[in-house]
Amino acid sequence: MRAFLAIVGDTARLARSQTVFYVLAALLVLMSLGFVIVVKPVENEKGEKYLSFIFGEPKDRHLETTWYGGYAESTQINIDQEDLNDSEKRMARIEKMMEEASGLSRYERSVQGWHYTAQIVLFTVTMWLFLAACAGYFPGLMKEGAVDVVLAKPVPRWLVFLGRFVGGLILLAIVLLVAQTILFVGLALKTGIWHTGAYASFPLLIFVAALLYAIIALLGIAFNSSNLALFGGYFLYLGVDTVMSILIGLRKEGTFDEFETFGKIIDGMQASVPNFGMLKSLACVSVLSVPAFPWQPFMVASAWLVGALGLAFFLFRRRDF
Amino acid sequence: MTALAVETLGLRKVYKGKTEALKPIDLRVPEGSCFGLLGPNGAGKSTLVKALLTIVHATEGKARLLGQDHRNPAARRSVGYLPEGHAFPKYLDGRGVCLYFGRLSGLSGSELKREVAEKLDMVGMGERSKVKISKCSKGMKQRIGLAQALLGNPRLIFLDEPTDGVDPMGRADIRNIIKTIAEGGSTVFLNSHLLAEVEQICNYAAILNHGELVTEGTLQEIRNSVSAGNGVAVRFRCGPIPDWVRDSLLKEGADFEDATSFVVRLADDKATTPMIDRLREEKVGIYAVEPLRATLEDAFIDLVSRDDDEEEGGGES
Repeated sequence: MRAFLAIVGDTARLARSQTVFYVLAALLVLMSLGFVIVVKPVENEKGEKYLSFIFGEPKDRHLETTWYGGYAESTQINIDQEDLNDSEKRMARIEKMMEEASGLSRYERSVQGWHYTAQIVLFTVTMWLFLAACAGYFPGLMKEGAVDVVLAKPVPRWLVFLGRFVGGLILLAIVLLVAQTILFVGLALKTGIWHTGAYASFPLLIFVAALLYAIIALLGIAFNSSNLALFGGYFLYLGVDTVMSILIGLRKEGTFDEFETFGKIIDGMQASVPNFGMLKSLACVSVLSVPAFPWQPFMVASAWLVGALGLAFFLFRRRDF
Repeated sequence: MTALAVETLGLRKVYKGKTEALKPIDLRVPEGSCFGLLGPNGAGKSTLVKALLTIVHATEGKARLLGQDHRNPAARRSVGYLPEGHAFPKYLDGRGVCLYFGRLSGLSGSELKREVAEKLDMVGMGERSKVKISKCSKGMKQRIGLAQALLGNPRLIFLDEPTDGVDPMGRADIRNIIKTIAEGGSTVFLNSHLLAEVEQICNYAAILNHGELVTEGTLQEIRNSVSAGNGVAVRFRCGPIPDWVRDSLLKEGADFEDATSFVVRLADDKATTPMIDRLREEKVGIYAVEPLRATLEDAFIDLVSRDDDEEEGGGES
């Protein structure tokens, strides 16, 4: 355990020595503060409270619409899990969700909507910069002369591997938790609504970061190159995911109805390649009081996480340094 | 029976199924010895150490460190290692490096802090322990590397080219530290291509060439192996030597360094007395008789050359 903590601590120190990590931490904290600062509670002529921006003319239902945006997305995710051709089931699902959301006041919806908007930005910035930060963690460990001393210690290789992996995530988790706490406490103090559901996105954020890190670790170990790991990570996260999202969207629109085989290929891709776009939506809508948690993208991503980690460890264990 | 710090049986390493970096090696290093592994560059010295420490995976064979299977992490519990060309984390200082590797060695709390301070002092880095690795000279890094290898007073210490890149004063310091460690009872396994270094520090050695163990034994045994069967060389420093005596000695193969000093190869040590008697009969004054022992360098060059010749011969046949 002591050795494991030492490796975790060393990885965290490595992260702290990187400029990109400070940029990530600073951006997350500043953006969280920004999301708190730029809004204020306002009352209309009818005495109803709502959330508005601090600048410009207060707009009564402006921020409340963000809640409806998230709600619509959540509804879409939920009904996608049902049989699309069965309209009764779809309606039943939508009505159930509306019922769950009906207890919220307009003011609460606008606060939750603002939390949802903040999560979209935090998620995007986190993944973009974390990819750049973690690309060098494993290739750096494997550098000749650096890994030798570590492996000569009475520590099994799996512990070195796991320590490096967990260490890479721990500091990110701390920074994210700080940012989310600033957002949670700041908005709570400002609006009087202590929306604990704002933390619901945290485990999913860490899960997606872990998945990306596992894939990057695999690439870094396989090719012993930070650059290749970085480009591979961005290619998968942005390139493949964007193409997949477009194809899935077109499939839903019925574009490929005449090409059954192509449609099946897209279905197969959806069932076998992690859909980061969907995972991002899941993380962001999770802060709304309308639960949406389809298992399929989560299971695919979990299988990739386990597979990438397992293969990365297999390569790390059998490598000569 | 002497306990063994390192024992290998047919330890072999083939990289990617092609390059045979180590031919099956049988090696025994007694516990408490200061062992020098010699060999030209690329002989497989570092590969052997890395295979022992499982930094590279041996293709075949067995090895034991301090009586335990070398593949078991527990076998490395009392082992220190300073690799050649180490690259410690640049974001750490000397103390940080030692604290980190000390924790990996299983040290903690006040014991760890005391050990780190003691070992940094021992290598002369006590007052410079807060200098970042990125700002350290090669010599400073080497001392820090040595300090981390000594944490926890390991019973077996592998040092791969420990004086590499260190100035002459630093080398002397490091040699003294190694001697102190060896005197303390730990086994030192020194990888070096510097023969003089091994000759000054070690009492036991082996020579590796093309991944093959050419010889092993005490330094004296290795030195003697070069002159085995060739007699002993003896230098005589004399007074004036008459011409007829000089001619007679030249016929016997004597090598005159100047008019009064010559080296002659005798059958063995016992043949020295008759030679002295003969010179005195001829009224030649004798000021000094000096047996010339083969140096480790002579032995090394001789053994490696012979091995190369055999390899070439084998290759041709």
